[in-house]
Amino acid sequence: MPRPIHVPRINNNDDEVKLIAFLVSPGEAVKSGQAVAEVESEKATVVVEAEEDGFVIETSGTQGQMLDVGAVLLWLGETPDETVPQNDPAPQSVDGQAGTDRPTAGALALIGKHGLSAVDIPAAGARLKVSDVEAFLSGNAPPAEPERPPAPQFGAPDAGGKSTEFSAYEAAMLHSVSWHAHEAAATYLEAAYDEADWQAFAQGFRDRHGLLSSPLVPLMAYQLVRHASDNPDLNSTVHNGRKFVYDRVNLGFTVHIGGKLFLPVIHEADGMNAREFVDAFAGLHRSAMRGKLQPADMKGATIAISSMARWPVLRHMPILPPFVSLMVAHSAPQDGRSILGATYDHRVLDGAAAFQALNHLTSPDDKEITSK
Amino acid sequence: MVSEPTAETRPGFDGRSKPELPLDPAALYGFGHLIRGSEETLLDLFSKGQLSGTTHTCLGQELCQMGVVRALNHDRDAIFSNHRNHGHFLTYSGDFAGLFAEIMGREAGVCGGHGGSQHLAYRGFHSSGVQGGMTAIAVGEALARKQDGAGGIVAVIIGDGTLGQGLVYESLNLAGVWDVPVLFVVENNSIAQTTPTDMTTAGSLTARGEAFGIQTWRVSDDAPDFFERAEAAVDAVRKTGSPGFLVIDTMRLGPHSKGDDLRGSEEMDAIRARDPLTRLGERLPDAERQAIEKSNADFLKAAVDEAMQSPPAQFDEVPLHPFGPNQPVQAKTVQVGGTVRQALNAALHRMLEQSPEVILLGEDLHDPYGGAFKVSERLTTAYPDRVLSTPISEAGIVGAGIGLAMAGKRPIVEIMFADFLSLGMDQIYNHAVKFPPLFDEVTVPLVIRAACGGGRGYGATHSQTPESLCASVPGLTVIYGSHRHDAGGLLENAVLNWDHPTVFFEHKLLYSRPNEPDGYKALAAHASDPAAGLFPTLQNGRDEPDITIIAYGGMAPLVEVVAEELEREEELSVEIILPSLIAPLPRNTLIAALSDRPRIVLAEESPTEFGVGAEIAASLAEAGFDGHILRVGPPPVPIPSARSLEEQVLPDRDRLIAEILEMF
Ligand SMILES: Cc1ncc(C[n+]2csc(CCOP(=O)(O)OP(=O)(O)O)c2C)c(N)n1
Ligand SMILES: [Mg+2]
Repeated sequence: MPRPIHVPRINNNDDEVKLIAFLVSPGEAVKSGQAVAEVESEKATVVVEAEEDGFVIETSGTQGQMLDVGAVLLWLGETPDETVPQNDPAPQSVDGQAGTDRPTAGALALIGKHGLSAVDIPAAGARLKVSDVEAFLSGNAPPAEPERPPAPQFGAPDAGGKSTEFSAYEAAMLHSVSWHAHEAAATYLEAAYDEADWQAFAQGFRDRHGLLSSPLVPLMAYQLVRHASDNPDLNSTVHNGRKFVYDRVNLGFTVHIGGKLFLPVIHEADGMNAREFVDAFAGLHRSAMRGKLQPADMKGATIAISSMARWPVLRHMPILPPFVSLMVAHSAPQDGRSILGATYDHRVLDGAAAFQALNHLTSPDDKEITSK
Repeated sequence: MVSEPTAETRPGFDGRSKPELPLDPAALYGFGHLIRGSEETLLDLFSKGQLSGTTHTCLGQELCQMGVVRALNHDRDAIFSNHRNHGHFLTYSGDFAGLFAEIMGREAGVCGGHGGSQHLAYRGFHSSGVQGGMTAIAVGEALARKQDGAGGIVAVIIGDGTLGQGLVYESLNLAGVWDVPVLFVVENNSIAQTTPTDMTTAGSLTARGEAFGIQTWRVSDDAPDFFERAEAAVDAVRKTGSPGFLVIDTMRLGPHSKGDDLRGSEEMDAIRARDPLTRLGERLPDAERQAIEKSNADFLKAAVDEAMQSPPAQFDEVPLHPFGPNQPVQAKTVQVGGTVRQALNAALHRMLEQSPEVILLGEDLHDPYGGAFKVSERLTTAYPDRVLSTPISEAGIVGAGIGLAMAGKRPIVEIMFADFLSLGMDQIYNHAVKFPPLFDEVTVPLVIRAACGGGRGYGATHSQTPESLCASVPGLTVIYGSHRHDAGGLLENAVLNWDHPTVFFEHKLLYSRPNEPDGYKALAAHASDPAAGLFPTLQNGRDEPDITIIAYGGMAPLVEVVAEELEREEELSVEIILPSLIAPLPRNTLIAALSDRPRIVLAEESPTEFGVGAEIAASLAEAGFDGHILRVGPPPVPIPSARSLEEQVLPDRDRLIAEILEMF
């Protein structure tokens, strides 16, 4: 294993020193005590020596460059062809910048200035850029495909009032809940169960993983993911008059914030183990709480779950998100009794299939959850 | 020979020169009796509701207060007094009408009504109302006397209760270490307000002076040779040029202020029986004494009438700030090349070489160390008399700096870590900034340099920048430049071209940065912003910026990285504004330049709560700014030591970018 020689501190209060020169080059053999580099601060020049025999594997820095005190100056190996360990932590991506498909701030500024919506403007590359917005503004871009036909209107509202645009988030809820009215044959059924097993299981998982809150709903969602992965019919929809079976399971779940409903989506959830899934679930939940969800975070659900356990409702009937055929509804237990419900698209699933899926969720399946 | 104390024979009592008080009982009794009459007149006016505010009379202590002041006859002698100062003031000035008018709040008051009973100034006489607060200032003034070698000593007078105050001991130590001609006088009346001082003073009074190797005396104001012995102490300090410590045993005959006295009648009877002024009067023939008393009564009546004729003090216009009009700013040749540390060090060398008034005080300045951050290196060798490595004594050296400044020097005080400014804060907050507006002829051109800022893992008490604390002190100038400013030029302007007390922050992480302007230009200074031309605000030229980042000091390199990234990755045009003057805020300069900007970010290293950014944001909002404002800075928590924790608390690149992107 190569060993590092670090940039030395010359003065107490200088955190950087200047590299004057390396006195050795990669591949070269050095002896303990041999001078390998010269660095200087405002006060003094210091020769850095090798502390043991070896071969120079790699040097970092160029002549004249300011180096951070304590950083690796060069790597010394026992043989000339060892490789430098790559265990530096990856640079952290900036919170809120994570989505590579987020428009540039410059593009957003322009969009805001012209009262446009980012979803309407096609991007030439991975990110929507100022040039895309400019092209769109100058009419050179093809008009963006409207996501769906405008909702039919039946005359004006009877009472006085004022008409405003929906905000982006309001529009997201409008579109999600309007969709199924025209595009699915939504049906509802429910099953009763005892939640004690789930609670005990979630508590055990929480203790094992040192989580801050109970992962009951995420674990139930994960069991749904596993079940859907094994039963592709649950993970399918109708598209252009044909049955469309999804390759991957993308789980959508509801988050209520400030009187609004969001459906963040955990993509390719079937490829995750339980812990990864629980973390992804919590991560999206956090983003939603901070208002940092990006449009891409809310697209592409293939199956969904909704919990209203925060409120004392006995049952709730979720509205199916676009192109989702099964959405499970979880509520808090009341008087020892719990109810799981499911809204399903009867065009794809029949009652028996929906019930089996529900029934499968009424108790935790340790093997299914921890198998991956 | 007996002199007849009539108004005509007292030419000195008009406040134009120091009264001459020969050592004869009639003259001394006459003057002491006049002081007592003045104090009684004041209490009488108070009780009739003709005066307001507060006052502390020296009833019973008249001779004690005259003793030392009477002997200070060199025209460069200076006196620093306290709340109980009327006897000192009158003995020094003879300005009875001026004192009455001052306490009455009249235009003809010695300080035009600005000072009142506790804050008097007259030539070399200054008093203030913070117990012990003047002691270090007196030592600084005495250091100036010693350096000038033109004679004159300094007396600083405190009460015995003030021996509980820490600064007194810092001052004694500094006086001893510097060996300067200052006489500490303790008026030991055995009481502090209502508290008998045997409850508050441990150990011996005189041992306090002796412990610092200072010549020490104890006399009583009822001793027959009291005046001779007080004069002997003054002469000893004058002759040796070394400090002295004089305890005068005395008794307070009146209340602490007005009607606040808890002492019983027996104790008061004993004090009356001892009263040295009455005893002195009894030594005069009755007829002579009565003549003196009669003439004193007439004199006081005339002085009160004179004071009453003066109109109530009034501002022509309430000043908006204490800095006066801007002077034209002289163009400087900017010294470029080298680091910020080198630029500051070079400026110190230049100033010490060219201006004999410049004096530098600070801890660990001596070569070869040159100060904790080496900004002051090679100075003690070159200027051993004017660059002093001091004891650990922040309040003491800030106070000494004030005294030096009052004596005409241009002192610079180096505070090793800006966190320790808090120790000198009373000197700044109650003394440095208050003297110039209260006392007509006083300026305090003091610059306090302080190495500040985090990012080095030095922990909670070695990483802060108290710029908000300082900026909120009325009258304190706060300068905090960046590596893009002409660092040496800022310091030279602060020391040589700005006559007001100033804190000059230097971020530790900037010291080794190249000091280069890199295309920044100064914003046009608005004429109504004091000092905005001397300490410019820089701007990187951007047309129609999408976002404007205002930052200063150690945040400058960080916001440059952020701006570069935002321009590259986010297609934004990013304007950077770098003020170097924090207070007085270059308010109109900023408003004129920025009021039409769409988005302004205030990036701060110090907590945003109650911060400088808040003041800037409020100023913009008041001027009608209707864009989006965001402050990014740390929460109000201590700066942790571990680098990893410190990075989480102080704003970094990622946090700035993330928060800025949320504006879009
Ligand atoms: C720093 C400070 N603390 C408290 C006070 C309030 N105060 C004014 S005079 C005084 C008593 C001072 O006693 P001493 O020093 O013995 O002087 P004396 O009044 O006896 O002349 C006090 C507590 C003050 N002015 N300054
Ligand atoms: Mg006292």
